[in-house]
Amino acid sequence: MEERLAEELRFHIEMASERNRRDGLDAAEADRLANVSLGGRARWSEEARDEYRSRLLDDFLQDLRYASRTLRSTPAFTMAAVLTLALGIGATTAIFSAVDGVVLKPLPFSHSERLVRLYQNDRRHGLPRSDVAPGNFADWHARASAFDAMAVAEPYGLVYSGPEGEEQIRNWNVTRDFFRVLEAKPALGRVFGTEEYEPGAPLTLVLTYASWQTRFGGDPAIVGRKITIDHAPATIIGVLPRDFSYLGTRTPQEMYAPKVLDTIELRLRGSAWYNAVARLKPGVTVAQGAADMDRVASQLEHEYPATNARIGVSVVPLRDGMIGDSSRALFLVWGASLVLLLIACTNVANLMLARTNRRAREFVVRTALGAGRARIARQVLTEGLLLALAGAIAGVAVAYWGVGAIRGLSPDSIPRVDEMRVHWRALAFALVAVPGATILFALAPAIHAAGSEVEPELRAGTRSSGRAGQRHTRLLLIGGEVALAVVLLVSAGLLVRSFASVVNQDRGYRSDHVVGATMFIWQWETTPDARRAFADRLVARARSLPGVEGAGITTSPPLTSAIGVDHGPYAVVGRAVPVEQRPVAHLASMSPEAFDVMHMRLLSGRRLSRSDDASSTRVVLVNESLARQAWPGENPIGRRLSTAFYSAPVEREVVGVVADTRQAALDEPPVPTIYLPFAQEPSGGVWLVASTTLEPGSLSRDLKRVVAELNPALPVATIQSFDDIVSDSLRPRRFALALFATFAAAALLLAMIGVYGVTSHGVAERSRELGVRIALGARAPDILRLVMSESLAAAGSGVVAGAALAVAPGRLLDRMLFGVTPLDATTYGSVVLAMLATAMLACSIPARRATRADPLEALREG
Amino acid sequence: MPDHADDILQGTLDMLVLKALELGTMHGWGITERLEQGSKGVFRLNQGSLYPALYRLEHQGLVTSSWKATENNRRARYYALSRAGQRALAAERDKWRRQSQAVNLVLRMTQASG
Repeated sequence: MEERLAEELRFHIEMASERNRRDGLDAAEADRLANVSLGGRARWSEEARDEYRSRLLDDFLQDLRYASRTLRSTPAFTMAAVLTLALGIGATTAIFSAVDGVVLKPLPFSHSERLVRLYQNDRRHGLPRSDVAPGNFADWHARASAFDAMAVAEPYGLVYSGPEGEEQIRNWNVTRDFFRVLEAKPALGRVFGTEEYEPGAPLTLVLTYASWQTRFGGDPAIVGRKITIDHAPATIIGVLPRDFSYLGTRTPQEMYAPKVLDTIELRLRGSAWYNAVARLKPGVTVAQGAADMDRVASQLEHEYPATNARIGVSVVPLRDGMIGDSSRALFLVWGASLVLLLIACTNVANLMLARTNRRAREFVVRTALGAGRARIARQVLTEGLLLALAGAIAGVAVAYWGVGAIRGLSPDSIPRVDEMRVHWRALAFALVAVPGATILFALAPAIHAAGSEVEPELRAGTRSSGRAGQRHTRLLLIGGEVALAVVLLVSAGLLVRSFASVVNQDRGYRSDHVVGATMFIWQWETTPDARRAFADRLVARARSLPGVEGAGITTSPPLTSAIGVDHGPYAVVGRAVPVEQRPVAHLASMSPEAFDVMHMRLLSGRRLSRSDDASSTRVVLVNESLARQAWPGENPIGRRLSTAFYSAPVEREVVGVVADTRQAALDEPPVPTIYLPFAQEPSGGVWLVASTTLEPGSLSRDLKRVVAELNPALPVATIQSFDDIVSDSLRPRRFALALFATFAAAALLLAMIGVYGVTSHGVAERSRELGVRIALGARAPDILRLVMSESLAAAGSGVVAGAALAVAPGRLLDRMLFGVTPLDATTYGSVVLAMLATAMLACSIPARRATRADPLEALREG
Repeated sequence: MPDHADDILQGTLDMLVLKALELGTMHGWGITERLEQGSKGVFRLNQGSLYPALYRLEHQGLVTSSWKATENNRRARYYALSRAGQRALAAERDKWRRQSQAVNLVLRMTQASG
């Protein structure tokens, strides 16, 4: 518009200047006068622009009204398009919400960048993020200077006597400054103050929002309510806000209880299980905080060399500690959802192209009546915009549902899962997706519509097959769609195979109907003899429970975080290897029965037995990996190695070899492991494991009771069924798989619909030609071939292109694969076959219809 | 009344432009000349307000426009009265006539009573 005005003005000024010259002014004066006569150009060119703009607006409104009318008149098309778009936009928005809630949104604490986690940096065992020992924490708290506040959260469990009987509720025990560190303001009531930490104070609790809603039904009178905890009254004094989540994990810590560090705990520096969090002083960086803690840690190393040698402190921003690996997987899934959106847009583009085709006459008439080509294109784009808008609204509904589903599926290892909510950022994203999608799928049809040619249309009045360009576009789009669908299918296929591999692998042990309970007994059983005796009593009691097949003691069951020492260097006796180069093995102290409880397999030699006790030779079992590592190609039985377990190194003889088990994670390689007899190395922190014929849940209650009978003061730190542990460890994988599989299935469906649509339209377009052919004697197979060949060719090239494209995400997925390579032939092969078969099926339906077409009808339709 | 073109009522300008076009299709400069000649020099149009008026009229569908070549083979945008524009012009003419008659009546009345 600017150009038009400029050109008109140029002409105007030229003419004025000429007249001035004719009137006798000289050239320069003529020009000047001409310019002046146009007056306040700024003001009225603004006016002119406004006029033009309001005209644009009116045109747009008119387009909108027209578009909505035409869309309403073809409900089938509109429905199909809107639903397809809803699917694409909904999926992308849902995933974006997830990504936003987990990765992008800041933590729900004020100045969350000043919050840090404090870990023990266990340099002895190479574990930089270890739990904290109580004694160490007390000293850190007293001596550190870089922090406003420091506190501990201890994962714990309380026995709640509720309306449905007794159950264990997980909670955090938190020290005095905990809520100050997080600057948490309660939603109801208050958080812990100094009174709650007075010695002898009655038990008070602060609930999480979720607990208040689900367990206590959102009781409005919750503050001050008394419940029975550990068989004593406890008062609920507050409820935390909805978006407050410490560590954001979904391990169901429902409430917070005050923790007073008692004198016994304060002496403990060797056993560590605390979770420490702190808030840096304003202006202090994380690096400065780390330096401060290094100072304190080295003081402690000097004062307590036995427990604290080579124990440092890691200061990690709270956010980093929480998000980590999940972001990668989430972004990958987001990529997949974008691909799905692309496919959806392609489908709708095809639908619109077909429609444009049918409306060619309408466009031509409008052109003849004076509408510019740009106007026509704008009309089509407006229709596209309306479709996209409707699709976005429906898509947001899909997203709400989808986010809920994702939340339900998400593994606990994805932090802040509860913060995945569809909220304004996601809605803004949906709004961006709208014009984006519009441009993608309406552009081609708009261009084609604008190019509708007048002459052939008005003359022939039929759908001539001269629109080769358009058909090629449609076939191209189909090829693209199929290619993208293949990419998604291959990714999903690789993940499926990985999952199957992980689940079906030989784990080396059995986890069904096995329950484990952890407890720290060294405070009460302070001598090795006492511990052995306690362990024996415990195992005997546990075995006597109804339904229990076997019970045993171990320090390190698979897939769990160990209690206390769980690995250390070892040396093969007879080989001189310098200390720094000694290989590290996983260490576990087990009672003989524990092997049976977990069905571990003995490969050679003998098992541990009751006779391997404190008075006999020190023996060990090793697993295959260790045997391979220490004595490659030789028989390890009878060999000796030296290893330390809470003591100075001791030489031990290898008496048997056990099959490898998956220790750290199901998809990580087995670790060389040394199994020591519990009787010879009775550690103070143990797992009681028991296998049962009954439901694992009932066993939990009984185990707690058994422990309480032996020592009422002994807290049972966790009780879990091993199946749950395995299942939990699989959740991340299952999550990613579910999402990819859903998208792949949707993509396959959309591609199939697309192929069907294009073929169907091709048939309609060529109905006359086909009618003629049938009349001239063409038989069914010929017609079939004719109709299907185009679409199949497009689909086929799409499959090839997709297979080639799929190599790229395969590389990205590499870390998530297990037991398959990114170029796995089986997966590619099955996907290719499946896609081709689907395309065939989709083509054949309209093709079959074509063969049954009545040639007379077809000819008459001309 | 000052004869600055700024003060010409917008509606009046539109009517004048329509009238100018009634005499034939013309480009913006031509309209300016016609109006100046037609009013015997009384209206020295602020030529700046012409173009917004033309766009407005086109927007309202009262005129149409297109690029054409002048006699000297230069490119200019020519405006023409549309059917709707003709009707509007007739209506405006009537309104103006009635208004000025009313004003005249009032003026004469005052003098008479004065």
